[in-house]
This record gives sequence, C-alpha cells and structure tokens, in this order.
Amino acid sequence: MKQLFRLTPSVSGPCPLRTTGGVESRRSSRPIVESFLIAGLLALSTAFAPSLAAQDGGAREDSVDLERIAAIEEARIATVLRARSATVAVFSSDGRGGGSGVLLTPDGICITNYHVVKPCGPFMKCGLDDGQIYDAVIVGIDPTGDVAMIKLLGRDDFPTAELADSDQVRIGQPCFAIGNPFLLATNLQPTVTWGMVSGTHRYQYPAGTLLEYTDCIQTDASINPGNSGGPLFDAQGRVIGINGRISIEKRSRVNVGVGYAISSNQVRHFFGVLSSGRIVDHATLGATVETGRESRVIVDAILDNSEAFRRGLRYGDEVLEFGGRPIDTVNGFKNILGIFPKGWRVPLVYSNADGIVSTAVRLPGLHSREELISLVQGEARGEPEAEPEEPQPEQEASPHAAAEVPAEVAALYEARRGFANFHFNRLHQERLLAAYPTGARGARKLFVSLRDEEGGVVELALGPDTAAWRAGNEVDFINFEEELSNQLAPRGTGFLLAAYHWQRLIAGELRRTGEVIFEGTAPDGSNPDAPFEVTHDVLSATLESMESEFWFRLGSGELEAIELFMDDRLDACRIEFGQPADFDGQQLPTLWVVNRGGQEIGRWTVDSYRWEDAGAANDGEGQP
Amino acid sequence: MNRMTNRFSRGDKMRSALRGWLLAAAFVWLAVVSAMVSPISSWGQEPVLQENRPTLVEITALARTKIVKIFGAGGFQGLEAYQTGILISDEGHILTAWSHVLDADGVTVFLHDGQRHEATLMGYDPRSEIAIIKIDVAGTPYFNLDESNTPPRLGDLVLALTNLYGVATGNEPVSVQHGTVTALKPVEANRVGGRFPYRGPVLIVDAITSNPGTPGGALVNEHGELVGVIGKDLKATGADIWLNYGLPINDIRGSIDDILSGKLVLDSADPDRPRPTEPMTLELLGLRLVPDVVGRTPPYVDSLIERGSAERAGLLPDDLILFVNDQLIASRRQVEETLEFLHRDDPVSITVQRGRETLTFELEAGQ
Repeated sequence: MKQLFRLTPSVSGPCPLRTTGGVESRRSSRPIVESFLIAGLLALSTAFAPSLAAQDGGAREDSVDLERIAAIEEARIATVLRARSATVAVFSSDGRGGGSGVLLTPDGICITNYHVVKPCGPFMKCGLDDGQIYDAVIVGIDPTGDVAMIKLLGRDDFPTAELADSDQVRIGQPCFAIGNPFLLATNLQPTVTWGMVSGTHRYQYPAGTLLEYTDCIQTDASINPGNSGGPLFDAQGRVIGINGRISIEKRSRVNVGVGYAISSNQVRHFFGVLSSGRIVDHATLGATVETGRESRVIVDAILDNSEAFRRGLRYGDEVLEFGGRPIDTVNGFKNILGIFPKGWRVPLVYSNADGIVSTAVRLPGLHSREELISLVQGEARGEPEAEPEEPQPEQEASPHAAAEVPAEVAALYEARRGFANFHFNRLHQERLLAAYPTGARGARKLFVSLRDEEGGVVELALGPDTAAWRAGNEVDFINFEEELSNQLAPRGTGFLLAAYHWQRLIAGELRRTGEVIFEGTAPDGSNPDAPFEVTHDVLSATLESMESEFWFRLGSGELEAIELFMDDRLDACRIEFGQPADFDGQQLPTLWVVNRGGQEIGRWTVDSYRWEDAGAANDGEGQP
Repeated sequence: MNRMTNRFSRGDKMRSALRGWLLAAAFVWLAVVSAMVSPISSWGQEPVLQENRPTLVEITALARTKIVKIFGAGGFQGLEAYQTGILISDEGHILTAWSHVLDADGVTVFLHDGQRHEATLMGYDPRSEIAIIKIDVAGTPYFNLDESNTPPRLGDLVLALTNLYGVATGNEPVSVQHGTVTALKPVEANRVGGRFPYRGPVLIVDAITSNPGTPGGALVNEHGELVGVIGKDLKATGADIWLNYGLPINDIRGSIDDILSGKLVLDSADPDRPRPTEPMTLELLGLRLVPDVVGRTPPYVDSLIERGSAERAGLLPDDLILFVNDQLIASRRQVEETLEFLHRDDPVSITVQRGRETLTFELEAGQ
C-alpha cells in the first residue's frame, strides 16, 4: 500500500476524463472555488435570515457582533472545506459514467452507491479536491440497499469524514450535500449544495427488483444525477447519509426539492459486512406485518421454519418493538428491518394473548445466495430494470478506450462467483486464521475434559474423523460414514458437531470441512447502550449441508464463539468460549457455555486439553 | 447630528453628505448583519447570538402538528389522490386547496399523530380555489389566524410543510422545505382545466413546492406563523414554468370567513325536487360557456350571442361565473344543472369574477 498509484495526466498518458475538460486543472482553482463557496454561504445565511423589516431597532444593535459572525462564517467555511476534501468524484475507467462517494478511512475505504459502481466493473478512477486522480477497486456491494464500498489506492493518509448517528438527525436541521452533480467536477472540484432535513425515517418502496430505500433521510438540498453515492453532511461536517435517490415527476431528471439519503447508521451496520468483498444481503424477519386497528402492527404471515416462529411469534400477534424501536406502522417495521444485514440478531418485543414477550431473533437473508447472485449478474448484463427515481450516473461519451489498469491495481481484484471482490475476503480469512496454521495438529485428536458446576465431568474426543462424548455412563459419537446433519448428539443439541467443527478450526483444518467465507462484522448485543455496535468478525464454514459461524473478538482476534446451524427448522447450537489460557503454546478457552435458542444448556470449565496422534500415547497434555 | 451639521461650513457640506451616506450605509450593513444573526442561531450547533429564538427544528416540530394529510379522489391520469391540509381551528376546520381530491364521497384525513378521520366539505371559494373541510375533533393544535398576521415580505424565510409525493403516511411527519419569498404579485397562470381565477398577489417562493401532494400545504414564517397556503399546480402562461407559490393568508381571510359563515356552500338541495317543464337554458340567456372538457370545467364565458340578454346586460367573454342566483357554482356543468330548476320566465342573477372585480348582472330569457 505504500506504493503510489496516484494518476496524473503526466504519468498516465491520455486520460479519458480530459474529454470533459479533465484533469488539466491541477493548476489549483481553489481560490476561485473558495470565493464562490463564501458567496454561497453568505447567500445561504441570508436565505435563513428573517427579513430586514422584521428586525426591530433594539434587537439590531444588541445582537451585532461582527467579529463573532465572521468567526462563525470562517468556521462554517472550514467545515465545508474539510468535508469537501473527503468527498470523492467517482468515474468509470472509460470515463463514461460516474457519481460521488465519501472516504471513511485513511487507507482509502470509500462508500458510494451500488448503482454508481454497477456500470464501472471492478476498477474505477476517483478524483479528490486535491486535483489528483486515484485508482480504485471494488470491495463489496449491497445491491438491495444500493450501497457499495470501494478502496482508493495510493495513500494511507486520505482525508476522511466521520459517520454521525443518523437517529439523532432532526427534521428542520441544516445539512449540505457535496458531490459531482452532472459530472461537473471535471476539474475534480466538487459542488456544495445546502438545504435542510425535510424528513427522517422515510420508507421508499423498492424500484425494480432489488433496490429498497428504508429509514432514509429526506432533504431539500439540491441532489442531482451525479450526486449519487455522495455524502450528506450535518452542519458539523459529519456524514448523516449517502445521497442516492430523488423524487422526480413532471420536470425530468432534475432536483425538485426532494432527495433521499441512505442513513449513516445503515452504512455503519453494513460497513464491516461490505469490507468482506461479498455481495451482501439484507434481512427479513420470516414474518410480514400489516396495520391493525389503532396503530397496531400485526403479524399477518409467518414462516414456521423461522427463528421468530421458534421464539413464539404467531399470526395475529402484535409487534411492539423491533431493533430497539417502538413499532406503530408497517413502514416503521420495514424501516428498521432494512438497516440490518442478514444474520444479525435483533431484539424483538411482541404481545400475544398471554402477555408481552421480549426476545431476540437472528434475521435470515432476504434472498437466497443464488437469487442474489443471479439478480446482480442479470443487472450486470444490462437487463432492463425499472429504477425511475434513481439519479443515474451521468453518462458522458468518451472517444477514448478503457484506460489500462496498472498491474498493482489489478492484483487487488480476484473474481469469484458470489463475491464483488474475493481478494478482500481472502485477506480477512488469512488474518483471522493466522493463529491456527495447518500443521502437525491437523491429523491429531484433541481430548477435552470439561467439568460442570456440580462437578460432573464430560469428556470429548475430537479429531479429523472422530467426535465422541462421554458423560458418566452416557456415551455418544458421530458416525462419519453417514449424513452428519442427522446426528445431533447429545440429545438433539448438535453440541458434538459444533465442538467437532471448532476442533477443525483450531487444528488448522477448517477449509477441509467445506467452503470458508469471511462474512463481515456483527454485534453480539452485549452492550445495552449500543446493541448494534459491532463486536466481532464472523467467519463461516460449511460442514456438509450445515454451516457454522466463528466469532472473533474485534481487536484481540480471540475466538469467542462458534454457532452451528444444523437446519432451518432447528435452533442453532452456540458455544461461547471464555477465559483463554495457554495450552502447549496455543491459546485455548477454559470456559465453555452452550446456548440454544437463547437458553443456556451447558456451562463447563476445562480440566484439560490433550492433543494425541492417532493411536499414539500422550502428546502435549496441558493444564491451565 | 443637527448640532454637528450646523457647525459645518458650506464647504463641508459635501463631506457631511458623504459622511451621512456612510453612516446610512453602515446602518444598512448593521441591519443586514443583524438579519443574519438569528438564522445562525437556528443552526443549532453554533454559538447562539440571539437568545430565546426558536430554532428551525423547533418551529418545524410545532408547525407540523398542525398539518394534515388528505386522501380522496384521484389516482388516475396523473392526478394524485392526496394533498395537504392546515388545521385552522381546534374543532377540526381544515384549510386546503379546492381540487379533485375533495370530489370523493369519503375524504380521509390523517392528523400528525396518525389519527384517522373522515372529513366533510364545508364549502369552497371558486375565486381563490381554497376549500375548508371539517373533521370531528376537539383540542387539536392549529394555526390561529387571528394571532398570526405578520404580512409576508420579500426576502422572508419560509418553510413549506407538505404531504409531497405522499412520502409520509399515517403518523409519519410531513416534509419540510426551506425557501425565501422572492415575489409578491398577481400571476397569469393555468391549472388543470383552465385558467387560474385568483387575481390577488401570490407569494412566489424559491423552494420547489410545486410537487404532487403539496396543494393545501402551509407556508410558515420564521416565527412559526402561517403566511400562505399552497394552491393547485399552476403553470405560468407565457413563461410556461411551474409556479412555486402560496396564497397569502391575509388576502384570503375573506374567503375563509365566507366559507366558515356558510356563504360559500355547495348546493345541498334535493336533485329529485320538481323541475319546471320549461326550464331556463344558456341559449335563452345568450351565453356560450367554454367547452365542458374536464370533470369540473370552470364556468368561463366563451362568447355571447349577439344582442342576447347577457350581452345587453354587460357580460364579457372570460368572465368567470361564481353564482347563479345565490347558488355557488363549482363547474360549467353545474351552471346548466342549476338552470334546469329555474323557470324560463323568471329573471336570473349571475355573479361573475372579472379580473379582480366581482360583478352581478340581472338576465332574463331572450325572445
């Protein structure tokens, strides 16, 4: 990453963008831009000013403080300039289309709209207000939420913007959009438009097959084609949303005072998921709702294989709270549902004839994996899609052929079915699995001795094709000659298979059990003040028809849980690991807590771990 | 100042004039600057230079409790089935635009908190094309028209609160946009079905308020007072642009009061009541109205039969018929329906709008 991939006309040869006035303007036009900016700000100030006549003389003299006003104006200009520096002009490599984006990390992670990068392919050119053009590569896409993550290359000190808490945004507060409307930023100087927040928690029905704007922010700041993917800032220059849609009707494709931005909280939730390089999915509850009498939201259909059903939710029950928000309209329900990635566990409060039930439900995906892939590929093939309200990326004809992608840039892209860019998934997998190298342990068995609070002992034997359990006189084992998903020992819990899958990970053999995918980040919900603050990296691995998630604590990288999903109709088996200690040079947990469906079904401390060669005697026994 | 000026000799007159101009200029500058002070406080996060002023967030939060969403007829041919309304009493009187949406048998109103009510039409004024509907509630927040009468001026900040595009449903908050009053003058414009009859000055704003669902929306000033009601979509004749405008509340108070006092109510007579065997007709009166092209074609006089009763009485082409006898007229068709119940031997009184004037003529059947 230290290498500079910065492209300027002098080093990159003919630049397709030059056809539109182009990048020649490295001779800085900043002073002019700034004076326009200042003029605009003054105009805006007066726009928000009451009429002169409305001022009475007394107030006039009392309130005048020129220096203070000048200072406020200066601060505002500084805020806009700072916000502007983190705003990205996105162009497709052939210079034919583009939009906007915003930088969120110094190493170049940038958020934009899916519909902006869709026509670009894996690589794009990005301009900043420093007058430079940077190569960029696709990272992840969220076709349903119309969000994409790209990575700008060539610097580790990109200017960044901060994500605000969009739930704190108030109707009537000022905001400003920065971006590349009508692809005006041919000199890479973005356009700033001011307005106010016109509405919050707006639900916009899906346009076409995929795209749905939920919980979005409505603004009258002028957003136009080309602004797509660009940031909507609050007055402090924090990102409250990603501009993506405008309402149009009788006037053609220009702003009519009604634009919509994807909320920054939705972006925050999806940030770590998009970083996985995947085509990411949104969620469903497995149930739909309708409005009943007196603003009641009632379940009008529910799948009996959904986790919500297993937590007791039934047809006719009233949804009271979802995702921590009171629910009193169907739109309110859809809004909160739309801001969570597939697989997150979200609190749900509902009432039925017996009273009020508080629970948490893991949200299944809105699409099947194949469905999502075929939808994205269908779009990529240019099949017609009705998206009437979307400010499409501006199209500019370019006589130049697609620019060459430098080899260093091309190396950051790896095509794989179901991924936007598998390269980034691979990087995360390597990072998380670095502590579990494939090696001598791969063929060995691990004997685990567990003790419950009453002193009862459970012994496990886990190996490449061994999974056995003994608790007193009770013995159970997995027969690897047969279908694994039918062998949910002990007592239908699936605990033994979960333990087996965990052993495969720590033995460095996880990839041998099936496909491994880095899913992204997720919250464990343990912080009541910030239930959706992500806490873990989640890796998934298949085991025949089943799938496990491995939860690694952010920061420490410590493996803290495995959750095995046996069947849609069954609750997953989750083993939470705690209090790691060193066993023969490997950090292993000394506390195992087993949960199913929110119920604790086992809690043990570890007496010992013992690795053993197949058929050999003791090898590397360890006491904590 | 006087003392100072008196001391100056003639030769100093020029300098003193210059000084006076500079003082005036400085004063204007101060005024401008002080005008900029309060909006800065409205930005919330910045130092508040003028204490105790509500922020735009606060003004909006209060104003939107007085705005309702109206659902009625439409939903075809590009006509939306929704618009906006403004509560003007605590008893559920709602000011809105007189439009096709109110043609439905059941007009539904959603209050800001999602309460749903069925509304009845109290009346409308064909001159300003405003209407008042009523719901059966008590104690709702409302704009008190007697208290809020600050006349709007050029340059005033306005907030437009509307049910635009129907994006807000149930208890979801209506949309708010900001703008400035950029003109205050009469307009020549067309709307669906013909010319815009209103001849008074309208508030032209630079917020884009001409959008689906905005008719009946509120223009609110920086004190949270209602200054205008957004009318139906208008296209300026000549310029051929959509107008972002509102009818100034102060100028339509007469219309509002007339409706509230029952002067402007629709025909509630029994349509099966006896009809004369020889009814009055337009032809007998010497009147030709514009062709009946839309559901509610406004009853403009198209031409007059030469030497007919209407011509002799002084009617002119382009007069807009407001009343036949004392009956409020909503459409061209209603003129004919009203005449069907009048005997051709009886005189007819016709009230029209001509420009900004309202004129009444006595007509009788010609030979």
